[in-house]
Amino acid sequence: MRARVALLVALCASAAHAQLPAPAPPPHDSGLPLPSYWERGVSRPFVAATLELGWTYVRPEFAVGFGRPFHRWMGLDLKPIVTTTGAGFYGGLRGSVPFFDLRAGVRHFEAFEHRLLPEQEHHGRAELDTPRGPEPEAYSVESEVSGSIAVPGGGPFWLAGVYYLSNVKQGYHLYEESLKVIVDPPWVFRLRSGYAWQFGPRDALRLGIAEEILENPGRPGYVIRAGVIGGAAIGDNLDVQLSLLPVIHSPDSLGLAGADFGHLGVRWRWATAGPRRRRR
Amino acid sequence: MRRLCSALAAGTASWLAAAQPAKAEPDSRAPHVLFAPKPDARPRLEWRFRRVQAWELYATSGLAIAAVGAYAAGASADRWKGGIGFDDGARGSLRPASYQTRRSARDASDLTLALGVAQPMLGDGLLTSYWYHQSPDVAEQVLLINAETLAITIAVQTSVSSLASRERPYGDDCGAELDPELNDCAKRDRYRSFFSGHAATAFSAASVSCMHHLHLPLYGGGAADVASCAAGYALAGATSALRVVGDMHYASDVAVGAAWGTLAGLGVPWLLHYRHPQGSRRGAARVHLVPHPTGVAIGGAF
Repeated sequence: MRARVALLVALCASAAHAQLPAPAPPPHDSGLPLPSYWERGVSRPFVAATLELGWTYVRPEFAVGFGRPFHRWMGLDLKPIVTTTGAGFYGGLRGSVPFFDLRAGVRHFEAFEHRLLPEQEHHGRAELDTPRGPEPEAYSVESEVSGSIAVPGGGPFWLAGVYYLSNVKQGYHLYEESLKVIVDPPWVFRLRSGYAWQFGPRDALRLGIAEEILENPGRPGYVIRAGVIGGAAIGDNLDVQLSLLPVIHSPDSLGLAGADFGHLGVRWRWATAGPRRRRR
Repeated sequence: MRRLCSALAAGTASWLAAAQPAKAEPDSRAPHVLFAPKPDARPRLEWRFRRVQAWELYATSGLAIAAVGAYAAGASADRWKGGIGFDDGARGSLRPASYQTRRSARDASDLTLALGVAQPMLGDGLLTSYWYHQSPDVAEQVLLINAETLAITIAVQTSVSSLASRERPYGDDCGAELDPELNDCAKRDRYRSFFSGHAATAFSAASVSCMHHLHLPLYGGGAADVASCAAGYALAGATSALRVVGDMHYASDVAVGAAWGTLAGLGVPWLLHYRHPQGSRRGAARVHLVPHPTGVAIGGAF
């Protein structure tokens, strides 16, 4: 199934990349470093889209706002979510300035395979893979703030999130499909930090380490994950992304279902009246 | 709406025009579908083989649809059950006792497969050809060849697994060690053991990547390209072994999957592209669709 989805993703990528014309602006010869693609241009009202295509996921994202998209802006954010395990949406407000990003909104996800789990101290993978409980119909009201510090050659980054899960039946735990963790609603807290090194021509390559702690007051213990993140800015609006944070410590035994295998694919970004591309 | 239709018509016309053979450029039937050409750029790597043709894009799309259709058609229960030859011996020696360990092996096989497919797609296509060598043209050809190779690999695999409908090894345990309501036991995917899609896809990806590295100096030629090839096959081998350890397939399933994947991964790029240096008359393959009273016939000269 995953292999088939990968092919579809590859074919969709073909269609998505078909619209990448490359008008050539005059060469920049001031001797100063070029601002990044999305830093250029002027603040304006805009519509923007992001398409993430990768291993078993398609993540389109739409934004309407004012500012310089993907750089310094505020507005509305809408994300349909489609994976092999379910489908849903996220909608909310978002504000972004260089090295700092804040979002708040509501998310709903319909799982194809997973059901609510009877309250227990420990959950195993077989239990998660057996659809016996009621269907989950949870909503998450959530907010995340993230940032990074740019120093030559790389820098630290961090993310803090608060999630309030509602509409979950009493006496049941929920496998939260986005956070990849079994929770006793309503509150979940998340803290991620890491360091990424940048290198290569124009510092286009990024490789780093990250660790993450999730705390759910309703359940004993923490979930701790740690792993690698990476990426490559291969074009003005095209990136390759990788992140894999396996579970280091958890009250449950979920295997890869508990890991954050967030990215292995490409991200393409577009906005109305985008800045002109630089000569490669 | 009229404007949209005009745009669609204009787009189709220009695409079809690009798909027509031109006298000056014998290979100009190959449209650019991923990256726009940059006439003023000097790429560090040039494509010197037969390009992906318009008909191949249609065929790839058709194969992708066929793969989805074959999967949706489902598999039948109780058609083929149990091991053959060395299957039971291999299962007995490789299968861990606990479900949790077997599930971990399956997870690991998903991960190695993802990395294996990323090698020709993200590694060879986007990172090496497009970004490092600044060659959108080579990247486009590499990505399209990957797509057509994986499409034919998966279309055949899904069709055969639907027709064969062999029960996966763990089927023996459903209702005993395994809960009959477990997704693995309750779903039709339980009857898709022959042949292994993971093994076929992993070996196909490793093989097509190898073909790229053998014909293009993606890593400068020599030892680094050979090492990339070896790493791809090692990853494919690990993926296949983990499918047996995870009790998802018999050894014969992964052996046939690996053989088909290798054949498709080496054969498709070589037959359609790498054996035809650019400009060669042999490279001008032709395919014709001919209306027929009972459908459509396809014919071609290669």
